[in-house]
Amino acid sequence: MATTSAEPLAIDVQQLSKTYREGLIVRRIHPALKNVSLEVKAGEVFGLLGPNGAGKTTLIKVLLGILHPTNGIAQVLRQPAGSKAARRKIGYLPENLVFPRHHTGRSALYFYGRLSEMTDAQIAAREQELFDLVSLQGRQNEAVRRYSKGMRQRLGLAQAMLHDPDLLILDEPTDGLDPMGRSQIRDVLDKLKQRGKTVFLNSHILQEVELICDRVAIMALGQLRGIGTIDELIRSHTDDQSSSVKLEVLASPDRINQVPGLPQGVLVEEIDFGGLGHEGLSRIALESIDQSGVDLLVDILRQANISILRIERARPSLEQVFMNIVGAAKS
Amino acid sequence: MKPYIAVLYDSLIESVRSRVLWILMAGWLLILVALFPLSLSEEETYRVSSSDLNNARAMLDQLAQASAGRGTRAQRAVYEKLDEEFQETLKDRLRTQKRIPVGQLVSSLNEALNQEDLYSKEAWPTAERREELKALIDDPSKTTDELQKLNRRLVDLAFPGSIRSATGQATWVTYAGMKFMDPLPFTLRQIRPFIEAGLYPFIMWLGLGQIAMMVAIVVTAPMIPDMFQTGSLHLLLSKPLSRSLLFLSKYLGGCIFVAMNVGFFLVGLYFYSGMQLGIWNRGILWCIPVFIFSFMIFYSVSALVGLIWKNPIICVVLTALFWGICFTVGVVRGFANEFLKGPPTIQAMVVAQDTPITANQQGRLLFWDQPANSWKVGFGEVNGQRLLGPIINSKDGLLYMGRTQFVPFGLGGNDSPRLQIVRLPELSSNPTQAIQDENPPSKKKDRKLWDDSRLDTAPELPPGTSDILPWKDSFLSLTPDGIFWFDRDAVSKAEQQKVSVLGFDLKLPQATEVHKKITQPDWDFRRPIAANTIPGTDSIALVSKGKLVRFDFDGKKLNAQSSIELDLPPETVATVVVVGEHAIVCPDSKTPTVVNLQEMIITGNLDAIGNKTIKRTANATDGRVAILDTEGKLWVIANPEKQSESLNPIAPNLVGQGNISTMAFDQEGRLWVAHHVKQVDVWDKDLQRSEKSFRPVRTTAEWLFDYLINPFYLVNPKPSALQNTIQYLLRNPENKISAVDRADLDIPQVVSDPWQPIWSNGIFIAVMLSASCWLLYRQDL
Repeated sequence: MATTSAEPLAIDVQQLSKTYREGLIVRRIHPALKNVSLEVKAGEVFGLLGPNGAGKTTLIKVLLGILHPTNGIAQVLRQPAGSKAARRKIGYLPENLVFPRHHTGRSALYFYGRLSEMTDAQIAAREQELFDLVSLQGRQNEAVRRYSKGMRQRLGLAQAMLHDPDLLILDEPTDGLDPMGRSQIRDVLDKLKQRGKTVFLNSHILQEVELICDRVAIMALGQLRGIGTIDELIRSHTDDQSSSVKLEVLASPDRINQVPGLPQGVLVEEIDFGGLGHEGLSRIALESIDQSGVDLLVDILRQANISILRIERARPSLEQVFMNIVGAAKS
Repeated sequence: MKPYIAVLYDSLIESVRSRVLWILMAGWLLILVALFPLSLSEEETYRVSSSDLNNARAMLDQLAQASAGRGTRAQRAVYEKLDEEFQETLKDRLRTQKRIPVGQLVSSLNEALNQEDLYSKEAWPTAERREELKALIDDPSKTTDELQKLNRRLVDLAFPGSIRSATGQATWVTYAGMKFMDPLPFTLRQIRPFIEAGLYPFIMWLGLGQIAMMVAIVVTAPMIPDMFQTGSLHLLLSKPLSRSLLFLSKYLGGCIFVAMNVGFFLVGLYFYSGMQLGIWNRGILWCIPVFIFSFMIFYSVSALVGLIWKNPIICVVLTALFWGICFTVGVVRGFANEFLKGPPTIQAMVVAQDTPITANQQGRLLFWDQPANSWKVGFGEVNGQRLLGPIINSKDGLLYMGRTQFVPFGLGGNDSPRLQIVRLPELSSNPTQAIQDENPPSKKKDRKLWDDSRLDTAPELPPGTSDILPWKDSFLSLTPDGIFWFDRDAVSKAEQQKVSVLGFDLKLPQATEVHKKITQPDWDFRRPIAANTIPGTDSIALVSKGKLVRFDFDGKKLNAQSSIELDLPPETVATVVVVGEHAIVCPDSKTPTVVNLQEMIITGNLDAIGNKTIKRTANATDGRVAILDTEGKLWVIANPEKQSESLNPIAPNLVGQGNISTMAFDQEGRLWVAHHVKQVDVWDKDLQRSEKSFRPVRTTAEWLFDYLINPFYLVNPKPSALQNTIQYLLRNPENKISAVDRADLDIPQVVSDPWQPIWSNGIFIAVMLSASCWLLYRQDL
């Protein structure tokens, strides 16, 4: 599954396993990660997908050094995962971020900046830009306990970017945001990408991942089930035989049905223009047809002198890929 | 900025933004504002206060007798100057024995002090012999204060023993300039150590050590569990900061809250103390880190609990439980120490027929029971009394001792100790028999011991007796009214004159009949008094009111022969011992001074001993002396062969050196040393070889204490022991007065290293924090 390239890697995980052991007397063992290997190239926006309990958060915790792996190797920015050197270059936005109640937006930014070994002067130089970027300008002196979830999330993103890290690990960054907020986050991520930063994104929102990410990994039951660009995933995880084709033609359904040589399973229906009717305009749909079948159908219709107005070949979505992978893993 | 400094700084910000902090600060401010008008003012006054009365009942009796024309002339003269209403009350008392409130007596006496014609030569024939009184009597234009001074001195002379000699100094407690309560019978200098070593530690213990500590534990309990909130901890752990440093920074951050509270209150107390009481004690400021350290002990428990359960309520409950365990272990150990550990420390010792007889802290007389290898209590279980002596007269086998209720720092009301005389049996043959015989099952409560051949209850010692001193086959009683010699012959005569009715003795001999005053009427000393006989003579060396006086005996009286001012405040408690012609004066907490008694000049200091408080001395028949400091170290000083030689104190290498509680020389010049509570060793004359040891067998209770309770106490953290450190820091060496009277020197000195609680509790904190860090490192978060 892992890519093999000479490009510098931001994240390099090889055969990583993590097993939780619980209970003092009766020990229960719960494997959270099983031999996970993945590589994230520097400068790419990488999406990590998976259902709840797939092991995504465990993987992020291992990358940050919050959890000690049971087996395997994890490197971040060519440093051992969890090492101080690696953590210096990481900006992290956790899921459900909670700020200490005594902070204002500004003091929280300063606190996390100082934790990232920044001087107050360096923080001061960055603060206005960041508050503008996450649309918290004018609200930075309010107590964070009065912030909405979306505001806290944006403040969290600001603190993650504050020390200009090489790698951003974002756990559900758009969670709780309205469509406008999500759009702003996407803009921010685009800018980060343009600046060559690596973004490791963990999200449930597949459309968002599809829009932002260069590459995606899908996890299920602690294992990596798929990795690659979205096209690669679709190609490798959808069956071409199951693709369908739709044609809009200038002919009535009766005329089409009389054309000799039409393949079996062709559905023909009249296209209705809001009850006004337009005699002679129909839609032909055919499931499970390959390219040669499409070519043959076009030839037959043209020999019958039927004009083809539009041909649409239905493409599988990431969601479909995701459902296929997860469904297959569960079964 | 270093990340851990950022965490600390954040904790500071969190504390400053906490409402609880400001509420507590407001509370401290209110206390300080309320305290600020409270002050002390010292004034010269000769007015009578109730604390001046040693024996108010005796004084009322004497005044009542005076109302009937009896008593001394001086007493009748004082009675004449009392107001008429009180005179009638006294007459009533003579008939009806009616009780009179002490306040009424004090008020009436104070009115009498303003009478211009109290003095008459007939009533006080010896008054003019005293320089101070003569000057006042001869002054025709006395001020009101001078008149009061004269009259008070006359009252003191009229009722010796019943009223304490006026010092002329009194200290008032004032609030916003208003005096309240009776004046305290101490100078500010004397009060200061009590404030520094008693009052301040108490205020701090209660306010900061208990109340503030509990509030702080509750307030800071959520800090560690809050760190574990999902979404908060992971972000912190993603920063370049190790888990241990993060935890330790959070832990220290919790202490900032306490530091702000403690700092605020103690800085306020420091300024109050300096501005209102004149006590600028930097020790108060040094207590700030000690209290923070004290909190760190509890918070280390709270933090570990927070790491394990991540719940603030469990943190508070288990920390309170820990507090309770520490307290309980301390109380159990204290209780066991008092009641299981056996007789308390030996404080005095005499040797009779090769057997030690000792007096312990409880005022009990203990005899060594050789067959049982243990100490046996003689003459009843007496608790909480001070035992004067014992003194042994080897010629007639009599042992003298006085018993008095002991209240520290001269605050006792009744200063008339009982005298007891023990006729020693043949101790060497069967030492315990005598004691057993003394306590038959049918012992009567009011048994007349005059008839008993073993224990005689003699009359009271002269009022105000502070010590008894062996002298001429009998003993001397040192009192503020003079030195009294105990006349055994007078006792015998009184015994013969005694009247018996229905088997009951109607009257015991009066104290004055058997205790003969052998000092001159111009005696003008007051407590504290210390004296020692000059070897080979009937003379004594006496220290009081800051001077050393040599008294020689002319066959009838002791006369002041020569004296020297010692550059000591008059209230200084001192001990004196004579070696050859040298008197060694040992003032409280100062280097002993050597005075040549022939020439009455100071010849030097015993620098080898240094600034110590000497509590006990012993004279050997060969002229050597032993002196013992309050820390349990013993020195022996030999009589120099030539007068020009300086004295050379030697601390011999004795078993128990540093833990010695008392010592005595026997007739052969052997040194008997009591050490380690109740063990005794006998050393040969050269102090090289231990000839005999007395080691009482360990009882079951003592085994229990030594091998169960004490070890458990030792390993248990002891936050309360920090009180010793606080007292040490507050005690200003320059103002240290550990005693107001000589009796105070016998108060057991808790010799403890003030820094021991720091490192022992520090180890506990280190263990707890290490365990926390290890747990945090191992935890999957």
